[in-house]
Amino acid sequence: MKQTVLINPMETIPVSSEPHAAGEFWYFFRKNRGAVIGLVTIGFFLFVAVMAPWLAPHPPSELFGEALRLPPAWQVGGNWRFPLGTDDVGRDMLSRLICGARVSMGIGFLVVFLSAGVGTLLGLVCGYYGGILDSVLMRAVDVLMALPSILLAIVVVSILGPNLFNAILATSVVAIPSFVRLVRASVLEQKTKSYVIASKTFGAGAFRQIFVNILPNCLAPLIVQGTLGFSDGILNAAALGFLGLGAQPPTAEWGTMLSDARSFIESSPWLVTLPGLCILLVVLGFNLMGDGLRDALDPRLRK
Amino acid sequence: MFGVTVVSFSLIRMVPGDPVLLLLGERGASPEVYRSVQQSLGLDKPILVQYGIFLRQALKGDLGESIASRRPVWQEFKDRFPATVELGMTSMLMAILLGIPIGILAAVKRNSIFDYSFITASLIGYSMPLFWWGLILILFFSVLLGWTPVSGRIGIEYDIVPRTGFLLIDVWLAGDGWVAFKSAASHLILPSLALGTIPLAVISRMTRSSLLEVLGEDYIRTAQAKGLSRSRVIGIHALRNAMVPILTVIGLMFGTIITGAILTETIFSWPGIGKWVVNSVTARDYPVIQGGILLIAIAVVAINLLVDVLYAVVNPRMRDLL
Amino acid sequence: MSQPLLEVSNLSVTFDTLRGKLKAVDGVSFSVAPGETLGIVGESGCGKSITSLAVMGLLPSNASMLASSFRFNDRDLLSISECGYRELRGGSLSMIFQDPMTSLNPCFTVGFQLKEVLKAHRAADKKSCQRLAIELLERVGIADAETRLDCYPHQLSGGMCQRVMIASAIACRPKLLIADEPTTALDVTIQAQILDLLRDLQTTYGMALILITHNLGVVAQMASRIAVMYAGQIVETGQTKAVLSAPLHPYTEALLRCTPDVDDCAAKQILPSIRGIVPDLVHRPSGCQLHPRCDYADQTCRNQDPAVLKVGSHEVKCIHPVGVIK
Repeated sequence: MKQTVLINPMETIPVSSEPHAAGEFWYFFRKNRGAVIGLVTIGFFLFVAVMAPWLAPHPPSELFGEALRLPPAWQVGGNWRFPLGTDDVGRDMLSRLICGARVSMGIGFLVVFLSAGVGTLLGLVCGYYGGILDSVLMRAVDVLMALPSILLAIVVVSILGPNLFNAILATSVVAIPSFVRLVRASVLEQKTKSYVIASKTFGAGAFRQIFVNILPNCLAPLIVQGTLGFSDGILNAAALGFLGLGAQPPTAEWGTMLSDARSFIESSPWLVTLPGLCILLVVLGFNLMGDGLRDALDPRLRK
Repeated sequence: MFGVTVVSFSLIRMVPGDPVLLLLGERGASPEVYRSVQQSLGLDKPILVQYGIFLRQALKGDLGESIASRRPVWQEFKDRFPATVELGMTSMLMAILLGIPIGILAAVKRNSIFDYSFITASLIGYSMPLFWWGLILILFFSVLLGWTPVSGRIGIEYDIVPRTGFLLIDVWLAGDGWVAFKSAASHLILPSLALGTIPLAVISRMTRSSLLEVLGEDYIRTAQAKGLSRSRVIGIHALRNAMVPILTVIGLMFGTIITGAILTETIFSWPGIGKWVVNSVTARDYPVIQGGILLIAIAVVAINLLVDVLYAVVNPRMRDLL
Repeated sequence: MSQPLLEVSNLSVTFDTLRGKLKAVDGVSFSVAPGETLGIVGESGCGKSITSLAVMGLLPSNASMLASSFRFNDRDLLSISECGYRELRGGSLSMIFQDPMTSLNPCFTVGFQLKEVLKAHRAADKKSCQRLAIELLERVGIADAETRLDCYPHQLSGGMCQRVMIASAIACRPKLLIADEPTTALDVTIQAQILDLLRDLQTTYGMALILITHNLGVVAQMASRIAVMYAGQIVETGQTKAVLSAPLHPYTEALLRCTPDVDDCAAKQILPSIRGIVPDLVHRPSGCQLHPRCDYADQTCRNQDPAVLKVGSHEVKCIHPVGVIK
């Protein structure tokens, strides 16, 4: 006869240990080949940037009068003393490119640091306090975003004078609005969550609320934007350099190098291709990494 | 918009360098001449009054005179605007007409070689510095291959009377016909290609991802279950729903094009408003900078409004929201 | 015995996933006679929806399908071209889905989507399309049909959307309609209406119906024959009354046990459930798929894939069927 068992206790199923948040993130990041390539590229350029003074075969501003506009070493007329050729006043391209890496990475860091710092602060304040301050600041942000970024940067630089430092400042100013918007949106979203309200009932002050409770939860989009902000920052600063409004010669900045090279495009094409290629690679690296970060940090986008 | 006027006015007023001195040169004019020039430029009145005058005149459509060329700012703008529009529109058209089909193809052939090469290419496309890309294009097509000219809008041997300002049209109106048209077109190709690359990359990428998302939806399965042809399912059912993010991105790209136009015009010596504003910043030409920024901002706002309207047309749910 | 309308023999569907090969459907065989209602029941994830998608030829690109025989209306579905399949879909072979609100395209009117099917299969001109569309909507019980044609899906209720779906599915008088959980997303009162509608249409058009559900009550009302699925296999088939009153497979028995009886006043007991969890389809258990959860399982069950035993028209895939006299 068949047995009828009415009550069946559930067998305990072993639950795998809760994956650590950072470990999980790293797993997804690692799986994205593009992101890893990006990371490697950035790492390479960072290394070059940091080690620049030791890596460069010649000082970037030294003029070699006897070696004007030499092509890269593997072409006819080239010379292995100047592996990537020389420019129109006899400066070694390789050294200039290496030092340019230092300049560009420095620009990137400063721009992101400044714009993210100021932008986040403003965003936190706007989002948390709201009110008139919020309305006024957001109007200002809207105005700034309505103007094409380069235009704004150009105008800022023309107020302050054309040099590298001002170019960095201008680029940072241009980048601030997007951070403000992003952080503010995050704060507004978090404000409605229970933990904030609960924390309030426990008497948490504004400072603690903003920095300890809310900010950590806004980090994900902030980090992604920061990475992309790097690439934008480098591009914009190089554009300013190209227009003659950024780093001034003889500073070796990739954008400035391109502007100098314009007139020699027919005779010495390597002067044009090489600096731009460097910009492309760095920006590509940051974009790849940013995409990978975005995918890893946003569970919904995981395939 | 009010904010924009404040910003544009105050920003350029802060620019150091006295335009009067610039105009008079370093010759060291006598104080009387200096004051008379200053008066004629209206620069002697207090700042707030200057702003008030600016606003009043702007509303009347009078944005002052360019200090450098002594012609009304509005006139200068009108002269140069069509050139930028021609460049911008050609670039945008190219980006849309090429970008959307490519994006569709990539979505349909997901994970194929086409798809992978597409993703790589588009990533490179929007990581490139625009000014470098323009130079590379010149290097390749003009210098190495000799196919296209390097700068300007049309061969110097042609003297076309600008009627609409759009060279491609004016050429026909002036009766110079096919040859002149070819010259104008060949001058237009390279700058459009350069300017349009970033929008092309972004639009095609967005088309692909939006379409992929839509293709996973239930109603696509229903459409297939009804036995509809593949082209109909993708082209009509899927595409309509995918359009919203694509249009958003197209709207955003207008801003990118305006930004890019400034650099592109500089490289290709294209006589548009981008180049004009850049030059005037270097020359401290206040009225031009003020007016130029104002007009550009107006254009950007107008375009964004247009995009919002297009949303409603495409997606009925948006209509209810509007 | 008349020729079966749909004949499926030894169907297997395997998915290529990140974790490995997932066999969602494993050696499934069944048939549907013209005008008959077959109910397919089982838990979520047992493969019933995949089976129906396989019949329709709508499997996703990472799925591969194998079968010894796969025939519909005397056509061999294994060798048919995509073009040929498209002729069938929406024409003589139709399907309706679980969530009517998301199954209709939000960008187009109901009328547009309805007329599409008509234009694709019946080659009707504009005027007759309009007329037919109105007729169809009225047939499925939508009042004020002409106005409704110009409505968008988000303007209609869930029940109405499902009626529209049914309308487009029957537009071309299909020989077989597959209904995948058609009432699961709807209110109970609407459920009854939709089921009545389906039954009504069946009688009118002599349509065969495959009704997929996890609700035993629904299947008891609607189906003349029933197939019970578990872990991608059909474990029991037979006349509905027979299977539900005297189940042969332990799984079917357990399912019936789990359905709470409203009249049972002694229902102070804990709601029974089947112990264990559904197997991981990538790493399937050996032998009988149910053995880790089955009270009657023994060593043979662990080692041997059960053969299909026949008791009249009642079939069961089990080594120790319940109550069978050995």
